[in-house]
Amino acid sequence: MSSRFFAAGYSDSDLSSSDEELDSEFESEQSSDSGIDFSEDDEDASDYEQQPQEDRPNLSNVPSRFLRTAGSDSDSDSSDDDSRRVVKSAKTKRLEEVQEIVESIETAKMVNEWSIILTEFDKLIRLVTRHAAQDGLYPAFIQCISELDEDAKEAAKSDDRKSMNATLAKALNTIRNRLKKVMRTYESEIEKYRKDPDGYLNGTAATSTPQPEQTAQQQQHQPIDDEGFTVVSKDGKAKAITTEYVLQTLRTVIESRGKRNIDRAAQIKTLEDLRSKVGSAYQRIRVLQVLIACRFDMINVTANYMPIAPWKTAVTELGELLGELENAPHIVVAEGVEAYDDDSKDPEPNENGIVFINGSVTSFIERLDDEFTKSLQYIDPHSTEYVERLKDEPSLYQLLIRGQLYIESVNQSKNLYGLLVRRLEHIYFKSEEIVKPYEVAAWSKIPEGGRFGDSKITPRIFDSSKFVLHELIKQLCAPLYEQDDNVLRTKAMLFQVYSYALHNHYYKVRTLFLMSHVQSSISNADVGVQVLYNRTLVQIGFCAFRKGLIAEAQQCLQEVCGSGRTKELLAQGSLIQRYPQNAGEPETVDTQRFIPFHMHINLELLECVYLTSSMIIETPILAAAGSNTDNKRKPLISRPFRRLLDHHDRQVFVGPPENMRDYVMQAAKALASGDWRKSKDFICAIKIWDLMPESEKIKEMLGTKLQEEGLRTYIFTYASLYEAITLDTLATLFDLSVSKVTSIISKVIYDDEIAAALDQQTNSLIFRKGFEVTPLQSFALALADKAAQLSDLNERQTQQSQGGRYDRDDKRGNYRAGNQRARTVKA
Amino acid sequence: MARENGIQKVKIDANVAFKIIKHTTESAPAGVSGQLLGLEDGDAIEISYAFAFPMGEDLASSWPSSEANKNYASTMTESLTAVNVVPNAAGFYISSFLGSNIYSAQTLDAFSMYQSDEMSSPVLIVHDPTRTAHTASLNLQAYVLSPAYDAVKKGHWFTRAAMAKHGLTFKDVLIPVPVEITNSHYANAFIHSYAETQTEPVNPALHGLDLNIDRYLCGNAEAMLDTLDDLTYDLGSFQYFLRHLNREEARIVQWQQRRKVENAQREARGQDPLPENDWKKIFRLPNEPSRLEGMLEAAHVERICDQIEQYSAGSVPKLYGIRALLQ
Repeated sequence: MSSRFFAAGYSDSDLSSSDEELDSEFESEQSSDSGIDFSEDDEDASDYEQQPQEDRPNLSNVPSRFLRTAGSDSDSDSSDDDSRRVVKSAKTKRLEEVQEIVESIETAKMVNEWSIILTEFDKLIRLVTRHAAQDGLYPAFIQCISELDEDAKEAAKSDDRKSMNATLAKALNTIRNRLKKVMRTYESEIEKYRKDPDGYLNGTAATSTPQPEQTAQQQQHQPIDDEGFTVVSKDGKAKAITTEYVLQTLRTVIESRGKRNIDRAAQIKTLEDLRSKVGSAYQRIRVLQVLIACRFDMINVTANYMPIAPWKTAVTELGELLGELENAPHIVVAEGVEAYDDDSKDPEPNENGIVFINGSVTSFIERLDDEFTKSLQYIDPHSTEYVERLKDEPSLYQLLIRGQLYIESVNQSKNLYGLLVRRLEHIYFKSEEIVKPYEVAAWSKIPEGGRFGDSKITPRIFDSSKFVLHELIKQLCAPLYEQDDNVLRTKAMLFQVYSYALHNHYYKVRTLFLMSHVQSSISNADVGVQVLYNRTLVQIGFCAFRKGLIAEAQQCLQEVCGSGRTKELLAQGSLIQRYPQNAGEPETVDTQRFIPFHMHINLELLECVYLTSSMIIETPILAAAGSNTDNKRKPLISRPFRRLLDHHDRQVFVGPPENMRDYVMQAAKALASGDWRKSKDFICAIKIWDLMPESEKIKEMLGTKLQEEGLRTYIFTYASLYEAITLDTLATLFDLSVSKVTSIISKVIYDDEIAAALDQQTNSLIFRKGFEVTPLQSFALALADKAAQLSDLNERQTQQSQGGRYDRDDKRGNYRAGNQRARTVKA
Repeated sequence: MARENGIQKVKIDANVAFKIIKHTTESAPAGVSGQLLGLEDGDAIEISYAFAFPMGEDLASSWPSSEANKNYASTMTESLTAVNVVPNAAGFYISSFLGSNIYSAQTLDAFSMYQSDEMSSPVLIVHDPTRTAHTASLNLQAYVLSPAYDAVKKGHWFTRAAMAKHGLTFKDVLIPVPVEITNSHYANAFIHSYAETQTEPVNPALHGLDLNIDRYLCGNAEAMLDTLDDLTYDLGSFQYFLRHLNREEARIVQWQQRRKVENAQREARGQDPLPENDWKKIFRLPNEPSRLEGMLEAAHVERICDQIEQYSAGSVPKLYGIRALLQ
């Protein structure tokens, strides 16, 4: 650290002499350093954590003053002598280094290799400036530069210079410039050396006083030294574990957090040692806090997620922390509390008998949860590692509950909602059977009757048989609904809807969903909430499908499936990289957004449900449209379905179905030709239905739907071939009761979809003829449409070109106007 | 001479007329073409001979302007010179199906090909075998290129401004010219002698009473739908251009106003005003797309409309007649 201050002083001096021409990079590097150092001086010591770390190759060798303390603390069992010896050897080493460089400069001087001298000189300066604070000035260095100065002057004067090549001459110039500056810095020392070279070399050596420029800086940070580590390193080691020692160690650790060259593993070891020894609850809590924070610090920046072993330890430690807090009712961890500065003893409780500690339990829990999710995002979901990882979820869930209990008991409602949302995030997509053991296991580990024994929001489950997931989710969501924060409310609502939909409460879902008006505002929400919305929508669609509400299911799934970007909408992976040139960065962003594998909605099932629903709705419509050429009554319900059907139609040979799509397409074909039994066979042969709960019931439901829609399709397709047909025949054809057939056909007639009438006497359907449109009529209709469209276009164009002239009043005059417009508009 | 007054009449030798009818009818519905030989005589053109071009794979290759047919024409000309026929190209004939092929780029190309010093306005003869069959009367029409079209074409770009200047609309790309079919004296003599021996009419034209209206109208409607699609597309792209143009113009006006304000300020300060015509350097107006396509399509639409009108004029009385019969 002190080297930095020194560096500041060093370049400070040359800032004043800005008239000099200094072309080297070295110079600018130094002054940019100094800029940072200055700003740092003025700020608090705690800000060190945030300071940007410059990439200097040798920086890691530099012992920081904090590290020195921490390091000597950590091996507190070693004797004083030991540590002194270490320092000595380091110093000798540095000295040797300097000597080496000086020697190589001497050698280079012999052959006038100024470029080598320049590099060595730069090295030397760097080394010396860095160590100046610890070792003072090396006499060898002073000797070297003063000699170098003389040589350089000579070389510049001599005739050799003209014979030098360009690089050497340049190097020489640079060195001379540098020397001037350096000489000024060390003026007094050099003066001393010049007066009495031998005496200086032997005598003053290591005890040389710092330069005047430095002293100002030194004084500035001297006080920090005193209160910071100097005292500790002297006293702490020798002492037994005392309050003061503990608190001060903690302070040093806290202050060194975020620094670059810190041995974090050593820190954690220190803290772990400390934890086993400390006495008071206050101290234990403090140590645990710092320890957990340190564990998070251990995460490698390049790693995608926290390694699992430290994660587990952190979970245990957090559990212990909560335990400590429970046992010590007078201590409360809260955010935004004034930091307690006195390191000599534990703080006194305030007038209410409560000691506040700055910190946040929730942030720890949330961080752990985040790391858990991240690890699931990056672990290959098909490996056993993933399954192993999932087994850690109950412990995390239990932690969430305990955190919630703690926050509830200390009334920090601000933090509470985040935890509730997280808890919901863990259970909303699970069925009741899965959540139940979670809950039971979690509560069983929480001691009954303790201070955090029960929750107002989610009461303890005493009888596991009475557990109802909806109740739990309702309880969790209730406080969230009362919040002003829109995101919280939306999320809570979506969680609840999702869970309801999962358990087939379609009408509850619909009411809740529609009442929230979430559809209108969701496009403004952030991506995470939108993904949740999409997932919920899909789940509602599934729910409607299971209930046999095909049209509703199709509508819900339309938005997600219709776009062809299902994967992205559900954040379950991206399409094949579409932008290969900048694939790197967006991919990581996407990955962070992805939902862990175990929460995925099966895309094939989704597509299957969507296509089947579309088929059941579209096939009769297609049949109705096919019987008359009136194009207006041909609404497009599902584009993907139509596309697949077209593709299927284009195939020259149609083999037996191989995948889900084939099955649905062939079922659609069979249904279109009126063969509902074959259609049902195809649909039921799809294996993916087994993923749905109660798949048999669903197949049965689909069978009934196919019978009904098959009947409608049949009537539409073959109406032109029949003059009349008895309802009995239709009933036997489609295996439906006559009354059902009557009701379906009545509806068709009522909707004006076929020209027919029901004859009650003969119980038959009688078709009326002559309602077909002739080709000429259909052409005429199309032509009328086109003409209207064209004249519309023309009119707009005329308006656009401002005052196109209508030469004629008849319809065709418009064309003329289109061509005559030219006169008016000119650029 | 012909340029001032224009061609007023096209006289076709009956032999040539038969030749054209035979060729086009036999190859229908494919589009075919042939070359006409003849002389300019005052304000009339006399067509004395015609030969057919071999049919190509598509319209472009069977039209006179195709490379193969150019070669074929020159070979034919040589051969005709060898047998002492004066091979003076007077124009060309094409077949049409319900008005198609006439207003096409290929036809206009062929026109410009035949334009030369000797033949200032080549003539186009169109035979529509379908209409001949349906309306029971020969549908042979002659056209010459309008001077307005010629003038615009010399400017190489069919912009609104150019078209407005020369008064060119889709109605007068081609100017119809009356056709007169003349027999040689030998033929006239034969007919006179034949008529003396024959007392009854040659073929009573009973199929004039045919009531099958739908098929003809369907064909027309279908052709109309296609053309309307093209026209809509063309209009769409033109509208796109207009939008673009308006936007640019708005920007220019804005710029000019700004410049004016700036100049006023500068004047107040006693400085020289900035030039106000700089916008020409800053903004580039979009190029106007050629209006030729759209114009041809519009002409085609009009032709179909005329056909339907003509046909229905004949058909409606028939329908009334039938109704009277049925009552």
